[in-house]
Parts: sequence; C-alpha cells; structure tokens
Amino acid sequence: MTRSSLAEWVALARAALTLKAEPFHLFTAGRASLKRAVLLVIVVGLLIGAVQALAGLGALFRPTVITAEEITGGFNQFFEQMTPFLDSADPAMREFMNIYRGSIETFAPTLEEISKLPAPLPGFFGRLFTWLGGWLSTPFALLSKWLLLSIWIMLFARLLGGRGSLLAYLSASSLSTLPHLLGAFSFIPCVGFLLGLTASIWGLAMQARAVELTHDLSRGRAVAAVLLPYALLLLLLMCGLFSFILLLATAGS
Amino acid sequence: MNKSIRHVAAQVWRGLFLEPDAYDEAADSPNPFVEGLFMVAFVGLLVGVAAGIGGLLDWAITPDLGRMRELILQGLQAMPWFEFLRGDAEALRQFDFGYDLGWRISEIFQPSALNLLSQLILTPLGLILSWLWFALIAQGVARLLGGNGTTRQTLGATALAVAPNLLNIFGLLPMVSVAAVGVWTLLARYVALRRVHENLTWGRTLIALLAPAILFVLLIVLLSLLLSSLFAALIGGLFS
Repeated sequence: MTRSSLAEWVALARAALTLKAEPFHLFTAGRASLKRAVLLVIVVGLLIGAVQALAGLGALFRPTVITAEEITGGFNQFFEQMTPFLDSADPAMREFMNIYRGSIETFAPTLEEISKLPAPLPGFFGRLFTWLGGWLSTPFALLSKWLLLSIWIMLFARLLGGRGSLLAYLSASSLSTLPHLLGAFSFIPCVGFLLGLTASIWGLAMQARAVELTHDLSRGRAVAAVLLPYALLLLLLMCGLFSFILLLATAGS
Repeated sequence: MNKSIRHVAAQVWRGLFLEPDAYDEAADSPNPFVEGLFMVAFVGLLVGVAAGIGGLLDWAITPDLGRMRELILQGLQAMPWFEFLRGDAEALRQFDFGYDLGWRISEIFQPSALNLLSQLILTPLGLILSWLWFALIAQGVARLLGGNGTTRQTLGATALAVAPNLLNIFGLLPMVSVAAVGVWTLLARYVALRRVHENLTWGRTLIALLAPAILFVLLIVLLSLLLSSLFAALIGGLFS
C-alpha cells in the first residue's frame, strides 16, 4: 500500500467516524459487492487481534508449565477467606469443604504432570498455534458480530419503511466496525471496559447513519431501527426471567 | 476440466461476496443441477481437506491422550472422595464404565486415517444434502407464496450460496475458531432466492428462506418423539 492510499484510507476512516455522509456513499457506490466491506471488517479485526497478540507475545517464548503450588494457591486463598463462615457452618458442610479442599490438593500434582506431557511437535508449536489462533479468530468474531447485528437492523429498517438494498446497507454498515479498534485495548484493567463500551455506542451511532443514508429514513426512524433489536432482546430476556421466577414460585408453593 | 475448475472457483469467489450477477449466472446456467453439484462438492472437498490437515496439526500439538487418561485416573483415585466410592462395588463399576465411555467417545474425534477419510467424504456429502434440502423446500414454499422462479434456477443459485463455507478452510490452523459461516450462508441464500423469485416481496422471500430450517427442526422433534415413544414401549415390554 502506498503512502498516499494509506493517507486516503485514514481520511476516509476519520470522516466515517465523525458521521460524515461521503464515506457511506463511497462504500455503497460502484459494483454491487461485499468485497470492500468484508475487507474493511477483516483489517479492523486483524488490527484488534494484533494489539492483543503483541501484548501476549512474551508467552509465546515461555514454556507453560503449571505448578501444583500455582493451582492450589488460588484455592487456598479462597478457603482461608471462607474459614470464618465455615466455623459457624454445620458439620456436614465443614466435612464437605474439607473433602473439596483435599481433592484439589491431591489432584494439583496430576495437572502439573499433564502440563509437562510432551506432544509429537515441540511445545513451541503448540504455543505458536494458540497465539496465532487467538489473533486470527478476532476478524471472524467481528465479522460474525457485524453480520448478525446488521441483519436485525436491516429487518427493522425495512419494517419501519426503509427501501434500501441489502448489499448497499451492509457495505455502508461495515464502517461501523471502525470504532471497535478501541476494543483492542480491552485488556487494560478498568479503562478497557470503558473503551469497549465507547466503541459499541459509537458503532451503533454509525449503524444509525448507515441506515439513514441507505434506507432513506428519517434520523429518528434510523435510530429506532438500530435500537429495536436490543429492545427485543431485552424484552425476551425479561420474559425468560419472569417465567423462571414464576416457575420457581409455583414449584415452591 | 482445468478451465472449468478455474471458472467455478471464480464464480464461488463472487458468490462469497454476494454479487447478484454471479447468482443470476448460476441460476441461468444450462445444467444447474450438475454444475451446482460440482460446485458444492468442490467447496466441500476443499473444506474437508483443510479440516483433515487441521486435525493432523491438532494431533501434533496434543500430548499423548492415553498417558493423559492414565494420569487423570490415578489423580481421581487419589482424591479423598474416591474412598466413598471404594466402599460401594456398584458405584465403582458405574464410575469405571462412565470414565471408559467418556474416553472412548473422545477417541472418535482424535485424528486417525479413518477420521481423515471420513471428513473428506462426509464434508462434501453434508453440504450436498444441506443444499438439496434447502433448495427443494425453499422452492416449494416460494412457489406457494407466488414466486416465479423454476426449480432448476433455485438449485443453481442456491448451490452458489455454499460459498461462505470456504471460510472453514481456515480451520486448517488449530485453535482458529471460524465464526460467521452460518449467518453469511443465510445472507447468500437470501440473495439467491431473491434473484430467482424476483417477483416476491422481501417478507415472502424471508419466509421461504427460513422454512427449510423450521421444517428441519420440526422433523427432528417429531422423530425424537416417535423414537422416544418406541423406546418407552420397548422398555415397557421388557419389564412387563
């Protein structure tokens, strides 16, 4: 890629992120094909994965042997925190917890031994494939998320009177994956979650813009088309929860 | 033949990106069933080979499962709760049976020459059956809803909708989870039906698109009910 074409892509991304109409029109223009849209989503996915892969590069060159102490360490901490509660618990509960603790302590050396078992290929290859798998799975996950969400939004946009074609809308909506680049830093404690949330909200705003422009809908209807799939999901979850509570109450009475 | 493979590859590539012209071409080909069959088998074979290589690589980075089985059993037998099991011969027998069964099931998925061969055969076969089921049911429903496409056209266009399965080629790398194939296939099938039955509204096309999957689920539920009542009758007969 030449420097000028890279600069063009950056300018295009900046215009799309600020919800300008040109990038959305550009993505829907020309021959009807998803090629450009899919390419964009894959590049964004690879970049997100690359940041996380770079963060985990050290583990690639470090043999991973889990020691029995490492395994029991975390559990012992949990049991120590539970001690004040266990003192006042009934004997059956105390015995159960003792057996539970004893089982973990006895099984930990087995796990250590399993982690040392050799494979036909040297251990480095196992770590390499795990590292590569983590990286290369990211574009697929993003692709799946984008397509699934876009289908629902497309459905609601049509129900709200939209007349845009599937290919035009999908091409334009692919730009909504751009803010997810922020999600590359989701491994940072506390800030990571906020960045992920910002990326999701920003992505939805761009989806609304794509609906507005490709379906020729008013801004209000476009926003409704984007939010209705979430409202439906929430409604289904609430119905499920309500049924579960009702079932428990009926079983209890 | 070489030229036709190149042509099929190019058409599948265009079908992957949902290019309407590619679906029109597939629908209007002189022999859509044979060409479709070749296309689906071609994609299935590629995916099958990739899955085979992926299985081999997976085996190469996995420790000996026989040794793992022994170690886990020894570890379980050393646990305090296992003492309770030792006192009950029936419980111990059930444990041994369950443990053995679990590992035997896992052996089915371990790479072997037989597994490799079955993947090469079953992947294209599965795709062909799925294509035929979808095309014929969707065509029937589309016609009932007033669609004007022919069965030949639907067979040709929906064969191209297997293109998203090409993504599964990435399965040759162990640990890569290939998502999006299902949803992409759904979109490709929608485009195929829309191109063939151009007089149908999008809502009716959607019904024709979902009908084969709904019918399949209903059929499975019905078969399960039939089989379970058959089993119940058999078991009841044994104990009466």
